[in-house]
Amino acid sequence: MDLAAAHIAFVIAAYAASFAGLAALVLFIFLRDRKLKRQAAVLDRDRPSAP
Amino acid sequence: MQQLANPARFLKLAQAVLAPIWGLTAIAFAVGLYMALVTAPADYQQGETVRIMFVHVPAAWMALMVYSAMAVASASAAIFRHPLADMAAKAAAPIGAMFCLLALVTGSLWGKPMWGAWWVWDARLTSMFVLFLLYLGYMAIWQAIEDPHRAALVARIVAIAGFINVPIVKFSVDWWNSLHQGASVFRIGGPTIDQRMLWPLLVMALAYLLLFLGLLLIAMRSEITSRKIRQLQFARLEGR
Repeated sequence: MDLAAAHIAFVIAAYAASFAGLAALVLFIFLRDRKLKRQAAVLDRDRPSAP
Repeated sequence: MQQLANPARFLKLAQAVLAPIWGLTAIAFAVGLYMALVTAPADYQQGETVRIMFVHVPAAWMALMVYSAMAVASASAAIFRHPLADMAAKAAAPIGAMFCLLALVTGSLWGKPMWGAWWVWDARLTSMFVLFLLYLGYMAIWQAIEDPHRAALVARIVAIAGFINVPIVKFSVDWWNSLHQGASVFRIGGPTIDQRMLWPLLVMALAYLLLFLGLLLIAMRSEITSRKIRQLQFARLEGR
């Protein structure tokens, strides 16, 4: 890739936007999964045991 | 498919396939990016700007594929009462919406140097924007309706009715005069794109597909956990 070519800033911006968007999506899904797992574990632990 | 209707069995299978999926995703992205940025030649007309295609086209394909998968999942939830089908559609929506947004943003970044405009109300661009709105609407339904059974019923209708937009996006460049170029890969008569550009495009598309599968499995796992939390909260309220 020629970094001195015309309009190269648009190419870099497109790759940066794609990387940022996909990274944000991955982070959102992983953090939500972790938060829900923790919440379920707390509720499970605090559940009164059957008589 | 019915064997996977059991959430416990699904979770076990998801756990087993996630590591290989992440490994293959990393390899596909590494190879795809190398091919897209190093080995693929510059276009004789577009120059280096053609490299935007390697992130724009896979995102657009995935946006269409994910919405189609949501429509199929919603139909199978309505017809076969598959317990995981609604969850799969719900989990896929934010992923598809992000792919759709990336297709619009990277397309705009390509349009400015090539067409001289960030955006035009062209049939392909407009129908793609409508697809993005359909994704947002679908997600809003799940957020707005508290009862998950009622939300699932309304969301299914939106997913199935909105599917009409998928062929409109695909064939918009054939049905109307459009600034957007016509199909050059999935077309009768085979691809017209040069092999040196076709392979990087296909490898990047595979990377996006693998990423989608990995994220979908995790998002579905989250949905199962979310339902478990709801049951535990009800049990707590009832003093069980």
